[in-house]
Amino acid sequence: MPKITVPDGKRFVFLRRTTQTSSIALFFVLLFSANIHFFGLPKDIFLRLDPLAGTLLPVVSRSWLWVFWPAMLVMAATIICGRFFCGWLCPMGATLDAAGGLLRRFFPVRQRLSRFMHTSAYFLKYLVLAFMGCAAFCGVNLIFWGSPIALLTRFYGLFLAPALHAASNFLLAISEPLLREMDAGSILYALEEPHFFHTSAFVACFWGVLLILELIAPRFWCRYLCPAGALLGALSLFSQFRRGVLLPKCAHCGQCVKNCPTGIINPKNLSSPAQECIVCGSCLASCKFGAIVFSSASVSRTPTKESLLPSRRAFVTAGIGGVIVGMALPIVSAKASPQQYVRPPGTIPEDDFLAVCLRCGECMKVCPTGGLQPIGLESVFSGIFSPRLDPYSGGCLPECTACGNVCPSHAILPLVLAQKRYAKIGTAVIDRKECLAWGEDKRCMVCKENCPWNAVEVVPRPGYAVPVPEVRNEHCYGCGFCQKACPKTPAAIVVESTDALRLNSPDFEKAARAAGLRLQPASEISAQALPDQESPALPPGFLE
Amino acid sequence: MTNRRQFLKAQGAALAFCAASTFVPGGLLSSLTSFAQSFPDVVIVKGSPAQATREAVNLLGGMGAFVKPGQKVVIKPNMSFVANVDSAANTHPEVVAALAALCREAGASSVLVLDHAFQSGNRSLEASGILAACESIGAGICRNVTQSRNYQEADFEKALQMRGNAIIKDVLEADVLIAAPVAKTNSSTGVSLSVKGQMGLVLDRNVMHYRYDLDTAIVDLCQRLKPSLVVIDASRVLASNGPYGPGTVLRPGEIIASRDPVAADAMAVASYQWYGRNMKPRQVGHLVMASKRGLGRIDVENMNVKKVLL
Repeated sequence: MPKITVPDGKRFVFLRRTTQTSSIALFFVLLFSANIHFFGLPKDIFLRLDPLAGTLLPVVSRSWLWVFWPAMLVMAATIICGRFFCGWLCPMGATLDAAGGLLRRFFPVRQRLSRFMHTSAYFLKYLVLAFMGCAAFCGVNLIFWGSPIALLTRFYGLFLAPALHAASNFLLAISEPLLREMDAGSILYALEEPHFFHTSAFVACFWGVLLILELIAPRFWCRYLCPAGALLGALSLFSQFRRGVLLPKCAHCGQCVKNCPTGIINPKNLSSPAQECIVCGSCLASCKFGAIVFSSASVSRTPTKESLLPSRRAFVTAGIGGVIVGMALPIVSAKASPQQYVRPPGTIPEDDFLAVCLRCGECMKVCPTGGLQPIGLESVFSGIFSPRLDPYSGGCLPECTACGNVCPSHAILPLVLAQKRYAKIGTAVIDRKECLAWGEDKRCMVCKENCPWNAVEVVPRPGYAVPVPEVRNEHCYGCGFCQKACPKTPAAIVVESTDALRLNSPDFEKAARAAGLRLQPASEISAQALPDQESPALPPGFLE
Repeated sequence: MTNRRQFLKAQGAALAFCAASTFVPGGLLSSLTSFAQSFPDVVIVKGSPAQATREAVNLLGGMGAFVKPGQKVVIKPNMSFVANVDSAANTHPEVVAALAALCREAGASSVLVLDHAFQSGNRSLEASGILAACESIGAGICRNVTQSRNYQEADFEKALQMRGNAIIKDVLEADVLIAAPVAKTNSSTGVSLSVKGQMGLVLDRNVMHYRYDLDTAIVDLCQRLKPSLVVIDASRVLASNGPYGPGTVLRPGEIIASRDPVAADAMAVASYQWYGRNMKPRQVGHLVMASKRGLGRIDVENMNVKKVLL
């Protein structure tokens, strides 16, 4: 192997910062751009880089998920040059670096943790990994609690973006008199109202804690908790390209110890365990004596005394914990949540879905009506954070295929419109006691006028004073616009997951036809194609 | 206050006038009566949508009679439905564009085409063709108003039930309101025309269904937001399965216009077959109430109607 050495610390750090900044910028562009592709890059590329997802999702789902090949590349590269992903590419690392840097500037808390505390905490993330890994072998998906890119996507997409959107709306509202004065009132129409997401409070608290922890130690998450970091750390044990100290040149000034963001340089012999080093080059840039090298040559390495790895007993215990949870969870969840959720169109069968859904929130972020919502803490044992259609928030548009096309793990299949329009997600059911027309003799056809599938009929029925709505099940997609629009609270017409088509292959048209469904958006039905209607004795809505 | 005698006198005079108007030639009549009465109560023009719209407004005295230079105008079409022109669920784009152009020609300082569609965004505006047609008249004049910040609470002083609701601010600030509905059925209210169409200008429509009697609330609203000009697009009529369709589409190719929203609606009801049947204006609850509460006339048989074939 050729000898590669990086001598110039400043340039190295500049290069790393530039890469980090570009990486998070690209992450934002991909997350917030309206297009599915950005210069050929798929929208979900960062999620597919996530090594934890790439390793454990195939284990949980017992299938080879080829879409995660970028994660495989990351892991292969880690074997050669260490945890460069954490220091250079990971947008969560960049976020914590930026936010932590700002926080520490404004709240200069003395970092009180003793070296003992620090060194004894590094192994936690390996236990998290062992726990999740063993649960994965039992077929239970807990990956989303620790997958950094999924956590980050949820934070930006489902919490920060709506919060900023709401803030801009507020600014618009307070500047309204000025805008009208300037004859720029049309701006007031430009910005839609934001879609908020369930579990936002939880996401906010989670990130609040992460940021407070940044005050205790820079990159607290990456150091002690991140299971993806643990996985890459384990691979880094074999890395060739790593940090070393030329002790004869070293003046023992301690600058490298002070500047290491992961705090892993031993102040006594200045060594650092390779599995904790994120190859950021901070030590290199801080050393005035040229005593630090990043090199593929092994001569410069000082031996590491502290392993910082967990004890075998702790590791095995965590693994057993994972097995126990992995065995118990399906039993508990089967008892706890018998409820069938209305899933996005093209969602694979429920068990497979729960196994591969990353809970990243991409589908919810991209849903144009805000109808896809994370399932909340009430479903803590199984479906938590996974998407469901919440018609009170918004319906499923007949001409939209966004959610399936951004799903990184194909938990929602990427369907073309010709198939998606047959991917029935549920059926609307009218509560005749609550319905204004059925139950209160009030004239109402709001469900009908909002139905894009022509699936609600409002018809006179003997014994009822006003025409009443009826759902034609075989025409109903389950899109939920009726439920959203129903004047009653809670709605008297709600979508249930009844007759939803859940397939592992994208042939929904065939399945829909086999099931006798007659799904056709109202906008596509030409009036000429309608069957001849017999004219009713009294057209609905008219008086005698 | 009027006593019974005065009332009877007035009735008699009106009767005499109506009787006279059927015999006296139009030209002579217009010279006899005051300015406002010199135009027909209702005009029905058959022709291409744009031309018929212009001619209909012309027969009612021209847009200058409604819009003075410098005034702000709001046009309220139907554009809530993701449906194309043929479906007849939305107003014909040429009708809306012609009205907007006429307002511009009359010197309006601003012309806005507004509706509160069922969903946010421009999907239904685009599907209806109205967005593109309006862009050619003025950029950004056609808007779907779903953001609550663009609404303002208003009191309905003459209301029987709905004593207030939030109305689009630009509508409250407008000098002239023009209703441009498409003629269609509605399974709650029989038909949805200019009077019912005003529901597209309020924020909370649902309250009209669940809290109030729908017909009463519609009239409460229309008393507050009475259009000064009504142009009903009957180029196509959605004669069944309204308001969204798909349903039977008639193609009378007509425009019905009036200064009186109730009269225009009543004429539209009487002019076409709904679900294959001839209906009378008195069979539409909100129109009966509107006429009783002085909003306009539903006695189509007594109206001074001008029919033109282009």
